Amino acid sequence: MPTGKSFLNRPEVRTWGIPLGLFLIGILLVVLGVVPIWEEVKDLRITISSEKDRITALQEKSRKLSDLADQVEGIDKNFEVFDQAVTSESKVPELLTQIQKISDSCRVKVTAMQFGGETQKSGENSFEVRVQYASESSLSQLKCLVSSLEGASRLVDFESLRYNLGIDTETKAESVLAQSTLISYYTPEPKLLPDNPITFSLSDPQFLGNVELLKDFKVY
Amino acid sequence: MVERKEIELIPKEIEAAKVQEVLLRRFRLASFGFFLLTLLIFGGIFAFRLSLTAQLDNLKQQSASEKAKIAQYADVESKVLGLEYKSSSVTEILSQREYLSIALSAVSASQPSGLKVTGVDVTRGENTATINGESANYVILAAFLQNLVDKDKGGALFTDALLSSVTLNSSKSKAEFVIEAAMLKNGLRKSGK
Repeated sequence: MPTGKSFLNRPEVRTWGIPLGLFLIGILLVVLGVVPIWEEVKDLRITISSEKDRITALQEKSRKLSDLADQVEGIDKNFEVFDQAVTSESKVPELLTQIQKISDSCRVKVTAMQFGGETQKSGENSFEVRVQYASESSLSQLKCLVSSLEGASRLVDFESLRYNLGIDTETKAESVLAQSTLISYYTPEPKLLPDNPITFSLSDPQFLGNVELLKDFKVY
Repeated sequence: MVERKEIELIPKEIEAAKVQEVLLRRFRLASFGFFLLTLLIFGGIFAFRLSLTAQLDNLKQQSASEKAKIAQYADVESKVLGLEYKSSSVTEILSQREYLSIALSAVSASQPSGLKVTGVDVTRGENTATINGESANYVILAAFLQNLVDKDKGGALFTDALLSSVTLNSSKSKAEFVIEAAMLKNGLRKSGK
């Protein structure tokens, strides 16, 4: 009667079994052990390389921030100037107040002023705030208003401007009835991500040019 | 002559058994060697992986420490990034800005006496302006059309002025007109800004 012991006791199994088993185990080690671990090793080496690059970038960023921290006074001063031109929030009441002040300074009578919503500029970090505006004035006063808005410290652009001559039914005096859509801008607080590099420099010519330009704008 | 015959002292079976013994020993040695080699490779790679994992952990600690350093400057970073965004926005806004005051000035500069501009319509990004008005006569209206494209007057902005409608208002004895004036591309922008 055949038994399990009889198979192992067979002379060919006793002779060839161990070497063949060792070969088999060796192959299994390669297939199930060496190959997957080698794949892991390759991934690890890539991860280590990118982590090293990341550390270098972080060290560079830390160094730049440390340098910029020494210039915090200049940064604060410039931030104030730029924040006046492009605010960090929509600040609609302040915008309407600025427009009202400019209208008053040019003796333009505001007949309607309404917040028209805000939209994000595509692919940019800034938002546009729209204001529907209507006024009554003389032509020279309207010209004063347009020029003053173009030179106001909080940047305001005209999306459209339309005016018509109207006649006051009571006084029979002619007046310019203007309607326009105004756009102002704001950039929200930035999201801080450690991996984002610092590319800004206070000595950047474009930045310095903007500082000079903004000096000419009038604060209302 | 004496006939020579080879006498086989060792039986063939014994010789075959010896050869098989040698082959078997070699095979055992090879299999053991192969096993040992794979074991060594496996052990080596495993140890290498362990060392890489340890190195990665160490780097992650370094990276966390650098992040902590950066976090200390959060206020500065926030201001600097804000300043960067605002500066690039200012550049973009001012480079794209269209000064509608230029259009109003160009219309005023072209206006002859005896002609009243009763309306202007300008929209950003569009290269035409609509000008409405009334004129005492057609000669003055023709002069206005010429002035609009005259380089010394409105021509600095307007490249073409087309009369799209004109109606004689007999009650006022005036010619009421609508002009479509084509503007120079980027004519409303200021080169200096």
